[in-house]
Amino acid sequence: MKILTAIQPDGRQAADKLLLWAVFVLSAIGVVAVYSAISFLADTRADGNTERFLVQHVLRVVFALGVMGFFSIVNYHVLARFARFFLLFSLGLLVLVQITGVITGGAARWLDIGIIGFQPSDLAKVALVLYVAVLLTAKQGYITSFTHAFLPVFFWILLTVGLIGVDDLSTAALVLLSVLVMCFVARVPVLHIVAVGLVGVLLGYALLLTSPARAARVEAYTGMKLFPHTEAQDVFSSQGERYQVEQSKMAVAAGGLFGVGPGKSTQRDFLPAPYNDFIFAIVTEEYGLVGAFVLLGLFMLILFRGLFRVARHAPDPLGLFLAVGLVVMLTLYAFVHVGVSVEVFPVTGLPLPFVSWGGTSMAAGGMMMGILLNISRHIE
Amino acid sequence: MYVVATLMSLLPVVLAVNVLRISLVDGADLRQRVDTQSTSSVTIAAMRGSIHDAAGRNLAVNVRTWTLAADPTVRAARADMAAWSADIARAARLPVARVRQQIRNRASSQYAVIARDIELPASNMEALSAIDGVRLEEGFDRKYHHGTASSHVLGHVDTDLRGISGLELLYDDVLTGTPGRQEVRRDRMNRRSFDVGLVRVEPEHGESITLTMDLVMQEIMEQELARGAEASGANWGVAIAMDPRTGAILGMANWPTYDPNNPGAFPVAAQRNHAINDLIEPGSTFKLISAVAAVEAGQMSLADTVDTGIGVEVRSGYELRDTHTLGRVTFREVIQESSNIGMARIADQLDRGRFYAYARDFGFDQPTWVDLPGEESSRVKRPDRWSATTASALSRGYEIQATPLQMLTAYAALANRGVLVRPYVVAARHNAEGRLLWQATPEEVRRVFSRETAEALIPAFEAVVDSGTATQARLDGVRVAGKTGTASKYVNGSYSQSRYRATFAGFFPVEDPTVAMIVIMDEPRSSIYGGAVSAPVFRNIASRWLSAFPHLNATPVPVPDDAPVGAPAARPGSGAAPGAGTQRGAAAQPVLAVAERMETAPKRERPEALLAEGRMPNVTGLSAREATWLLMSAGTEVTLSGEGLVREQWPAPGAALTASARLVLRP
Repeated sequence: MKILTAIQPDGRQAADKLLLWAVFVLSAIGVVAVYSAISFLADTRADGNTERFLVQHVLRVVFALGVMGFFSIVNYHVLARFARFFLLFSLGLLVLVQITGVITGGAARWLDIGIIGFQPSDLAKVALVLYVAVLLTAKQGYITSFTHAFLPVFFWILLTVGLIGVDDLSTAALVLLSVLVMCFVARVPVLHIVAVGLVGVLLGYALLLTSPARAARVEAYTGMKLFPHTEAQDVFSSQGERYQVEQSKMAVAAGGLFGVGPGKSTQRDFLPAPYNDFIFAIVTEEYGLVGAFVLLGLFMLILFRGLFRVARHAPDPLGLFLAVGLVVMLTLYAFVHVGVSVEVFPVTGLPLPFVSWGGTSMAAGGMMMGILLNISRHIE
Repeated sequence: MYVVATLMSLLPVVLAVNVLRISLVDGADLRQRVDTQSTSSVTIAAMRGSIHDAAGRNLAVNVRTWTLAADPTVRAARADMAAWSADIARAARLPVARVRQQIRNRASSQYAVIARDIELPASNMEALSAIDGVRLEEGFDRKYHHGTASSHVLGHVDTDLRGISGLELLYDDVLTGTPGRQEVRRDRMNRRSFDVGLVRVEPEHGESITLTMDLVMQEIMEQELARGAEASGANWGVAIAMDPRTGAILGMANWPTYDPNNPGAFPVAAQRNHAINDLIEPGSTFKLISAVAAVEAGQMSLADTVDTGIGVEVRSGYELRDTHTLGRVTFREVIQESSNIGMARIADQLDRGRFYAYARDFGFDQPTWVDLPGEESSRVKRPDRWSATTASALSRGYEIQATPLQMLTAYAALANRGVLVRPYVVAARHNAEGRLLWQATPEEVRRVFSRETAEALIPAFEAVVDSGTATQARLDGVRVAGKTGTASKYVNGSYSQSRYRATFAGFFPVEDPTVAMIVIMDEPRSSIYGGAVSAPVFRNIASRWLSAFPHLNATPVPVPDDAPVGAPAARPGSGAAPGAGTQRGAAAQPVLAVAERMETAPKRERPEALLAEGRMPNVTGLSAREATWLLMSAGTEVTLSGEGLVREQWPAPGAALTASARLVLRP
């Protein structure tokens, strides 16, 4: 940490310590929670060798922190120069995924690059935030213009979100929401934002119609039969689509105030992907309401510290837009993840940043937090 | 910016509220569901207790078995059923046709039991378990190592190892034990895993039961009964013996018999324990009760005479016959020659109420309460329901129904000089760790008649054997008393002139009886008479018992009830029922084990005698338990090495007893 904050190739002061600590604590919680939650997977895939997964997770955490450290010392203005290239590159990867995607979890989200599966949407979302911030900054003078500001900005937004959304609707929705918040802060007319939002909703609905599995989740969440192409029996039974959310709520309830204790989760044997999509539920089961509120508190800390310390005092509009976009996206991820666990949102497989098992998502988190920390070095 | 911050911070608030709602409001219900779905429990089987004879031999034990089952829906089976079933048949050493038939006739689609209780070498078992779809299931089975021996007492179990007859039924609860349970974690694939801290309830293994009977005595009894029954062409035969002093049953044999290992292969009739399940009219053996009543009433003494006339008498419309004309005879001769007319004359003078009271005191209005299931209660008419003929009919054992065991207890009461004891077959119960839980105590029911009456009557019953109707029951050198009975069977509303039950009931040695025994043959064909059919069986059993177990004739050493534990002669081998010292019957049995060994080494001096002289007996050839008990009863510490039977001993036989002895065992 000393190294991260002391080396100042540019910037006026050390990176924000509270943000840094929040990430460290989240990662630490993540290591312990994933170690416990992975046991079911370890039993089925590695003969109970949980340690192998622990080591793997710790290596990923170290890698993500390294990524964070790297981006925290790279001036975000330098990054901004390559923003367009990043975006085009990641869009290219997204297209590639569609062609040669490794099928996992029913959606082609992964790009297998030898050693690890790589999820291009994680890269694309960061690149989009970066590029949108650049565009918004460049077009501040005529931001209300439909042709000069609206069209170029939203061309890229919808293109990226659309490509992500083909296979990962929830991520697409989150990314869209995050960049719309950036646009809002960048004084893009609300009318334009609402219009894009509506287009996003229509796009989402269209995607739901193409996939019964997705539609069923939404129906299960709303408790209403909305789509013609789903089976009511599967949607509303506790063994069907309701299974995950029921199990998740059971895990949350099982924790009580102080939890059942580290490593004593029973719900990890029943929740699908407990180490990833339901890590919040596992933390709550093992550490109780205390654990749940610590997690929520840490993300609230990131939210407020990011908005009011970094974004508000950012030295230039680029820093401001970028910080808002990054903070909103990070915390939105966290809140939607939690919301899935407690039946506020429909079931979707979103990781909890820095906590969940999952290499690219953690690296993307490290990247976002790194950029945010870099901005925090420049605040006035 | 503030708008964004406000909107964004609303989200965690909503989430926090929801977390609290789930945890606090719905919490109890959800937590309950967590417990229900994540735990299940696995039953830990409790071993069924074993049944031992008085010397500790295993009569009924549990053995591990394998059931061969197969799932004919697996790919290998569907692909080539013929080859698949042939593979199974070859490995299981069964005919292919049988395997196919079992698969065809299976009850459920994915599960066919091919064979139960298979015994195969390890290589075949491996070959079987290697076949796809074959399941070898471990289980327990009940084995009766000695086959038909004491089968009617032991009873048998069903396929779930629940007792359905005999002691297996009566003591089913204590034999079964209580299965334990291990709570296990289960996951969504219903895989089970053990975890520390989950409840484990250890199984309580069933108690083991030790009988009062000795296997060797029982087998002798069964052999002799079968021989006698086959020779006489009887429908069935039963023999029961008990220690008249304690009530301990020494033997209980039925013919035909059955093998409890495979009861289905025998007719139901063969599984019937006639000793307690049959109510029969006892016939002349019941004259004992009439005689007791007459003597106790003071109206007869053995020397008094009765006129039996010409041996035929018509009473109230039916004819009463003696086997031969006796004329005027003494009461003693009435018994000795089993004169029906004489007994009827005596009964005529008896007060009905008094007669009934004696029958009742002998226990003829209820079961003997022996610890076997399904015992019939004897029935005797109350005096107010007696007809004109009842008194004379009753005097010679008609118009009354009693089980063979009930009759035996009456003769045991005579042997015991008037005191009726309750018969029992279970001497002790031990838990799975071998700790004594319960021990039978002899139970005196009541004194039925006075010692004087007994002493007065016994010579008459001895005369029956010496010179009366049961001379075939006579033993060399041992005084036997008893009574024959030849009861006409009541068939289709009248007493049959061709179907009889032949009985002999008696006891020995007369001076201090150790054994009371009854032998009944149903419809014997070679002769109808108890003295000709049953008395020889009695004699054969008794003489073989006496030669194998000399202590049965150990007359002049009466062991008082409160004998100090450790009288050396009586103690060895009582490992099955340690501390059975309060019980004279059990005290007599422990030597049996030793005596059994002595059959094979007849020249050896009796170890008890040597011990009594303070010299080391020859214990080679004995089991560790027998030798240890023998020596420890004399206060000698025993050091054992090896296993099997005693092969070497220090000190040598005949040397002076020392404080410690060393025995080397080899199989």
